[in-house]
Amino acid sequence: MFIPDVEHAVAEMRRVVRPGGRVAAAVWDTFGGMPNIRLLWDTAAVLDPAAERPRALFSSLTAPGEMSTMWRQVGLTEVEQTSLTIRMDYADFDDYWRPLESEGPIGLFLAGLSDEARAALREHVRRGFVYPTARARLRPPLGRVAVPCRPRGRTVFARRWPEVVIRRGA
Amino acid sequence: MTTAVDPKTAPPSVFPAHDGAVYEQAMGRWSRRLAPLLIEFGGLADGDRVLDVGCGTGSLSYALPEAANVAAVTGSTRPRCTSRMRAGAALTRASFSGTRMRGHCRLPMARSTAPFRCSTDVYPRCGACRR
Repeated sequence: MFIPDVEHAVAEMRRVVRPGGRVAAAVWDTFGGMPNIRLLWDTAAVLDPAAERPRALFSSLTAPGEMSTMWRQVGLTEVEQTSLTIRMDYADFDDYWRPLESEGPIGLFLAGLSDEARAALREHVRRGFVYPTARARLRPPLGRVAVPCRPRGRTVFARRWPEVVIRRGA
Repeated sequence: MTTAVDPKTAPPSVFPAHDGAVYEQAMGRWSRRLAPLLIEFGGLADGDRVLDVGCGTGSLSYALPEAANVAAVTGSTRPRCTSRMRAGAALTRASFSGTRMRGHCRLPMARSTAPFRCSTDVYPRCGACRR
């Protein structure tokens, strides 16, 4: 996704692969996935419309179907494209923010901001960032006993959110 | 008001990398998590020789010998990145056994505009290199 001449690069991969070999690649889904990156770019765009442009949500090959199209274009056959998903768990906000300050397009973007603008952006992103500890408070461990309740005469076990009780007026 | 983004005309973005260890924290750790999934999707068999184009700190390179008894893994990345990436590569390497790093060697990419070179000779030797 950071290769300037994508077609040339993929054509080179096709050239060096052995006959019958495979050319596999992955790019990050910067538009439809990556909430960690979207959180920062989207917040920046809300604070300052000028940040819309460097947001660059479509890098090379990240548009839907773009990879398989390119693979076929350079003469590869039996092309298959899929979505792979991983979780990104951060220990806390600093674990999320600090590496972004110096590396990659975000590091470049942050370096170009004034100290005030950078501090304001950091604070807004921090407010939007959901800590794992907050998530843990919302979702109790699985070991907790489910609480039975009886709406409309049937017994229902609220398995995912046992301590959530909705009371209607009498 | 929204800004339309045309994927066909959007300029290619760049990823300025400065420090291998910090890169590991920014993206490398997530690439390592993705690596087994990509390997499974792409398919890997014993005896395969793999060229990891744009290997960076070796997030994928080091996962390959974990997934199959591969004959060779060759990593390539931009030469000017290699010294910066070395710290991260060393960091990545520490979490896997039986891997090591060697010096630069050219890759057989005849008409490549980018000066792709092998930076990490990962496992067990740089099979695709010509010198």
